[in-house]
Amino acid sequence: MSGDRLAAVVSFVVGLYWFLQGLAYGYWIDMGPGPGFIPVLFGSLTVILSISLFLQTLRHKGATMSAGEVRTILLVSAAVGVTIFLMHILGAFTSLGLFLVAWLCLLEHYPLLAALKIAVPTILVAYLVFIVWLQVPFPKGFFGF
Amino acid sequence: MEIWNYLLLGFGQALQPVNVLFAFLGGLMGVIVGALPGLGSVAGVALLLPLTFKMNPATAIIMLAALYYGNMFGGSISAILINIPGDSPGVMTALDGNQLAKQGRAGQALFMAFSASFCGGLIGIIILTLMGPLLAFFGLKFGPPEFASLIVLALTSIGWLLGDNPVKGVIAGAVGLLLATIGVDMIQGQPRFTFGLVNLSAGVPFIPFVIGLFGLSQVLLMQAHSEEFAGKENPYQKLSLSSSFPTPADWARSAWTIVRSAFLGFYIGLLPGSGATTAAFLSYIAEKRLNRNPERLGKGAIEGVAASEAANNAASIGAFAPLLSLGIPGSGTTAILLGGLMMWGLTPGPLLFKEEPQFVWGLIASMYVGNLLVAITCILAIPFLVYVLKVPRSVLAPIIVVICLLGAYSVNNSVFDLWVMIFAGLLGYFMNRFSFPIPALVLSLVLGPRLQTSIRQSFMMSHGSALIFLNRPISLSLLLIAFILTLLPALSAWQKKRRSAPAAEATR
Amino acid sequence: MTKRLFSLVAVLMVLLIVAGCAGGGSQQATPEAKYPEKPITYVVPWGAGGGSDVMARMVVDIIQQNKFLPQPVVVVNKPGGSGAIGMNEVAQKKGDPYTIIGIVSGQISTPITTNAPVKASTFKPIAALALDEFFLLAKPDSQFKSLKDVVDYAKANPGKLTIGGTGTGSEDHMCTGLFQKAAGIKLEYIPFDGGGETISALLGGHVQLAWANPSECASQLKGGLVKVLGVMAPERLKAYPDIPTFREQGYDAVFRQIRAISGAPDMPDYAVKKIAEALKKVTETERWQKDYIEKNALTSQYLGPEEYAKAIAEAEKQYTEILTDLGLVKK
Repeated sequence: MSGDRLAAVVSFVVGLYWFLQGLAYGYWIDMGPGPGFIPVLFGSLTVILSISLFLQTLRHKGATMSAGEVRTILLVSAAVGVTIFLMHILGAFTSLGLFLVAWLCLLEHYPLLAALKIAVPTILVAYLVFIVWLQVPFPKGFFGF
Repeated sequence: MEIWNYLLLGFGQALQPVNVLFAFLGGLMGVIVGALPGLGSVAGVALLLPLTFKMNPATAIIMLAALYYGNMFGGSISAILINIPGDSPGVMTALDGNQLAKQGRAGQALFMAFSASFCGGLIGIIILTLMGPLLAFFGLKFGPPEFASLIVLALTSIGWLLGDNPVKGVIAGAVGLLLATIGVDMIQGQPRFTFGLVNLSAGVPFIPFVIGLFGLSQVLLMQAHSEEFAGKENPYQKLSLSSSFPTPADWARSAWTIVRSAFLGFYIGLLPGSGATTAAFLSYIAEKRLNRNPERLGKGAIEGVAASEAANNAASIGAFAPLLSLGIPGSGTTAILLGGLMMWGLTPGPLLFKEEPQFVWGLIASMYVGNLLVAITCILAIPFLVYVLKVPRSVLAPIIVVICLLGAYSVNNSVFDLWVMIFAGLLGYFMNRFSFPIPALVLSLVLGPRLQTSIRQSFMMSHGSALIFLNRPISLSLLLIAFILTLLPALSAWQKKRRSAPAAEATR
Repeated sequence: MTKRLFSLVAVLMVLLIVAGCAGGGSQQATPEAKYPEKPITYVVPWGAGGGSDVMARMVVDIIQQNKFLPQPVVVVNKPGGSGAIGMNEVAQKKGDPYTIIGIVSGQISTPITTNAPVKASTFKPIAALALDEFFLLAKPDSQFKSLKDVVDYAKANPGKLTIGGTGTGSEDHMCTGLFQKAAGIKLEYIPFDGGGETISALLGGHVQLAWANPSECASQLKGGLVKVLGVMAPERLKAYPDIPTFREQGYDAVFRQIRAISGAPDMPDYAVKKIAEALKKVTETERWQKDYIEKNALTSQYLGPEEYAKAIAEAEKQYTEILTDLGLVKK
C-alpha cells in the first residue's frame, strides 16, 4: 500500500472515531458548544478529506515504503523502547550509556574502546547537568543512579 | 520626561557591579537551560528561586528575569543545530533554522537568531519602559471571545503552511486539532479520548511530542536512508565569527520582519495566559503571509528564524507588563516570579511603581544591560556552538536519541512521555516521508486547546448567543480580517479572470 | 543494516532480561528502629511554583534546616491531570515507607467528578498542615457592594450573573455551588485556566465576579484593583479583619482548602508516626508561621493522622454532595 493511501485509511478511521465519540460527549449542550464540539466538527472534516485523499491515490498511487525501510524504523524505535524499559531497572544514565555503546559498536562498528570514549563523557556531562545541577528525578536503578 | 528620570534612577541600580554580574549569570543560565531540550524557563526559575531568598530582592529578581529572557536565546541553539527545539517557543525556529544548518549556514542562522532575539528583546524593553503599565490594562480587553477570534484568524492562515498538496495540509491541521482534544475537558471536567490512560488526562504532552516529531524522526530518517547520507557529512563552516555574519541581503530581508515580529510578540506577551510560544507561532504565520516569497519559508529562509526569535523574546518582556503593573502572571514562569516577589514582601501591582520606583526601574534598566550582555555572549559562542556540526553523523545520531530521551523526560518527569516521544517520532517520519506538512499539525496542536476553551467560555458569557463574537470591536475586527484573508485568494483569482476576459476578447 | 539493527535490539533485550532477573527481589523491608535510612520522596502532583510546590519546598527546607528527620526529603513534581498523574504514580507504591504526596482539596474533588479509582482516601493520611481561604471578588466600581446586592441581582436575573474561577469541579466551583445553595440563586460559573487568568477576566470585565485565594489576589487588593465581597471562612481572617464572612452576611456557606500530606497506600505505621512528628515540629517553627502562613494569609492548623483521616472522609462526603448538586458527578 502506498504511504498516501495508508494515511487516508488511518485518518479516515481516526476522524470517524473522533466524530462518533464526539457525538457521545455532546456536540451542543446547555446553550453552547459541548465537549464534543471540536471532535465532531474536525472529525467530520478529517473523514471527508481522507476520502478525497483516497480518491487522489486512485489516480497517482504515490510513493511506497520498502519492507527494509519499515523494518529499519521499527527496529530503531524498538531499540529506543527497550532502553526505556531498561531505565527502570538499571537507572536512566546506565541504560542510556549502554544504548550509546551498543549503537556505536553494533551499528557503526566502532571498537569497544572508541565507543566507550564517546559514551562515558557524554553520559557524565548529562549526569552533571540533569542530576547534579538541575536535579531532575530520573528513574534510578539498583546502583542508586 | 518623568520616565527619563526614573530610567536614570533605574540605571543607577542596574549598573551596580553586583547587579550587572547577576544579570549576566542569570542570562547565561537561561541560555543553557533554554538550549537543553525539555527544560524551559519554568524549571530554571523554580530551581533558582530558593537560592535567591538570601539575596537582596532587586539583585535576585534581576537575575531571575535575566534567566527568563536568556532562556529565549537558548531555545534557538538546539533548534538550529540538531533540529530539537529547546523549548516550545523554539519550535518555529527549528523549521528554517535547521534547514539553514543543513545548507551549511548554521553560523549565520545562529547569528541571526541571536541578533533577532536581541532586537526583539530591546524593542520589547523600550515599549515596556514607555508605556508598559498602560498596555497592561489594554491587554485585559482581551477576553475569551477575542482569543477565540484570534485563533480562528491564525487557523485560517494555516493555508499558508500547507505545502504542495492542500488536502494533505488540511488533514495534518485537522488531525492536530483532534489530538488537541485529548485530555480532561476544561469546561465539563470530562475525560476525552484518553483511552483509559491517566497520563493523557492532561492532554498530549506537547514538548515531548515535538521532540519526537522533530528530533527522533530525523534519526529515523538518517537510519532508513543511510545510503543518501553516506559520505555526506553535515556541511560545516570554518570556525570563525566573521564567516558567521549574515549577508547584507539576509539583513535586508530580516530587518522589517524583526521589527514587526517584536511588536506583535510584545503584544501577545501582554495577553493573559498566552506567552512566548503563541507569539512565535503567530509571528511566523504573519511572516509567511507577508513575505514576498512565502514558498521559501520552511526551506531555510533566514527571515523565518528572525520572525520567531524576535517575537518570543519580545513576548517574554511583554509578560512583565501585567506582572509588574497588575500583579497578574501571564505565564508559568512569571507566576513563579510573582511568588518570589511576594516572598520578599514586594507586592506587584499599581502601587509598586509608586512605592518602589527604585526596584521597578532598576529591573527594567537591568533588562537593557542583561539583554545586551547575553546577546554578546551568545554571538561570541557561535564558533564553539557550530563545533557540534563537526561531530560525525554516526556518532551524532545515537547522541540525538539520548538528548531526546533526556529532554522528553525532564518536562514532566514522566516515563510515559517517552513513549509519546517515540510515537511522535514515527509519526514525524511518516509525515516527512510522504510530505504531510508538520507545521500545520504543530500549530493546531498548540492553539487547539485554547480555541475550544475560549469558544465555550464565550458562549457561557453570552448565555448561548453567538453574537458575542460580533458585538465586541476587537473580536469583530479579528474575524473580519480572517474573513477577508480567506476570501483574498478567491478574490484575486476572480480578478485575474476578469482582467484576462477582456484581453481574450481583444485577441479574438 | 537491518541485520545490525536486529543485533542492537537483541543485545538490549538480553540486557533487559538479565537486569530484570538480577534486579528482582532487591527490595527489603526497613527495620522499624532505623527508619528512615534513605531519602524520602515527596511527590507534588502539581507544577513547579504552584501553591502545593511552594508548601512542599518550604516544609522540606525547614526539615533540613532543623534536622527534624535524619534523612533528606526530596521534592519531585509530577504535574498534570489536576493531580491525577502524580496520584496514580504514588498509588502504585503500596506499602512504600519512603514516598509521600501533597494533597489539596482539588485532589479530593477531581476523582469524584471523573470517577477515578484513585481517590484522596486511597493514600495513608499523615498530617494536614494549613487551610487556605476563598474570597469572592468584584471590581471596585461594580454595582455590588455586598453579598446581598449579588443575591438580589441574581434573583432578578437567574443564571445571568457570571462568576469566574479556576477549573471545573475545583475548589472555586464548589464555593460557587455552596453559595448558590445557601442563597437559593443560580449563577453562571465560567472556569479559567489558573488564578492569573481568572483575575484578568474579572479586571477586563469579562466576568462580573471571581474567586481567589488571599495570596492570589493580595497585590490587586492592595492596589485597589479589586474589592472583596466576602470570605468563605467560618470567622474573619487575622490578616484581613475588615472582610466580612459569608455567614455574617446571612449565607451559611463555609469552605476552606486543605493543604496536607499523605503517604503511599498502606504505608507502615512507624513511618507515618515519624513523618507526622516531624511535620508537627515544622508547623511549630517561627519560620513556618512567619514566612509561610502569614505571607500567604493561610490559617495554620495541624491535624495528626487520625484527625486528618477523619477530615478527608468528611470532605469526600461533603464534596460529593456539592458536586452532585452542581451536576458534575458522572454516574
